[in-house]
Amino acid sequence: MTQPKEDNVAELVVHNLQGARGDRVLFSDLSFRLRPAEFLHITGPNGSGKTTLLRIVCGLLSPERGEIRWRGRDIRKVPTQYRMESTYVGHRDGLKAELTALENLDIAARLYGGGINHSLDDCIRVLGLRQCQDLMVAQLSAGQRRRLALGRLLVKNAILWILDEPFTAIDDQGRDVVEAHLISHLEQGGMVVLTSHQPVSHPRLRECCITVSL
Amino acid sequence: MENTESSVYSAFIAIFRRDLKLALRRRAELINPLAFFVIVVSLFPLGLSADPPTLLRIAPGVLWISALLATLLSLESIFRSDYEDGSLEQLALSHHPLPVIVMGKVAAHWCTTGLLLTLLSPALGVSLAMPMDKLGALVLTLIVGTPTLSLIGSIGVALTVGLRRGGILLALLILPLYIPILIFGASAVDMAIADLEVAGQLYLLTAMLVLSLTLAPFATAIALRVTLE
Repeated sequence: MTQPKEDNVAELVVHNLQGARGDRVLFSDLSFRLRPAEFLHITGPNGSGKTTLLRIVCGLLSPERGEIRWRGRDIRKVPTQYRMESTYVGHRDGLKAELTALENLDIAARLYGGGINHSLDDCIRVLGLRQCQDLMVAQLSAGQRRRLALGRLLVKNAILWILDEPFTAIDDQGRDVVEAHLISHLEQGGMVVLTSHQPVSHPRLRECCITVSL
Repeated sequence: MENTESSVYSAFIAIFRRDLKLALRRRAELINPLAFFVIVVSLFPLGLSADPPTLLRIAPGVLWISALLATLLSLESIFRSDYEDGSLEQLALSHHPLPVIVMGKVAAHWCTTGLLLTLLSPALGVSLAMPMDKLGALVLTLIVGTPTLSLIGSIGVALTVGLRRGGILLALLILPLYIPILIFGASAVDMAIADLEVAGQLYLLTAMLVLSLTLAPFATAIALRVTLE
């Protein structure tokens, strides 16, 4: 237990990162630092490497060059801790079409949940999916599925949220719900990295927003 | 991080139950390999001869090869849908060890294919003129052999699931690895029919099961991480 004290501060450092898809280099020498209660908005045209960057940051892809440090250590050296403290919601929802909304959330809580901070009933209510909780996901609309995928954020107590286009297919009311959650997460000292084509609308989010353009 | 052991166990149970539930809701996928097994086995009397001594001579090989092909047919279902809907990347990002999750998935796959094939095999054995008192040996070899088929198969699926047309490649990759299991499985049944001792073959099949049970989940987990890159 002689680790330096800085190690215990939740901090994401991306250092001189280079990402590529096949042979094509998408971005290089990308560096940023994210501290608690900070919000990183990644913008850029289609094909500029936003998804690739997020997949590198969450640890699915290895970078061509550079490194990502979580609490001062390379994420490849502390994968379990990093996976426990981060949640990734990609552009594919990761839901099983043959399970109901509630069953999907239940499995997410069991497999990814570090500690369940809401009951599943509460989560379903917050997500606005009360009426369709017992419907198969195959019967839900794209927007409802997106909400359910974001429900993973609620059942897992992660500090770092990594979100790829969270607002796709979501209606205005859903967007408000998601933004409210982002704000309360940030107020509790959480961190958010997200990509989105639309600019951030909520003034409270704009205050703590860092924008990176690819 | 307390209770790591129990949380790993509960992750295994959670994924096992999830996959069983999914398999039961996809009836067609559940029944296809079984129907394939029954049909392939019943083609042999039609194509060769319905003469009982001939059938009895080929029965062990036919049953084992058919079980092996039926398993091969069902392998893709271990990871295909999870890969397509993005669940697989979520599982890979879970803080639980990936080999444990793989083991849960393979266990569920075996329960919905290998186990059912084994339960179905006595009826098919009888249709190939096998004597009643030799069916036990058939069931025993299949129950030890089919989990190995699922385990080795999971490595192949993990490597090929990212490819658009991975089916043929999977067969080419996996079938050679199935040869030892086929040899010992079929020869055990053969020897049982000839009233000889089969313990040796069964020990070898069990050894292969233990070996694949300890190594395959790790190999599959590594292959999955490569596939997801």
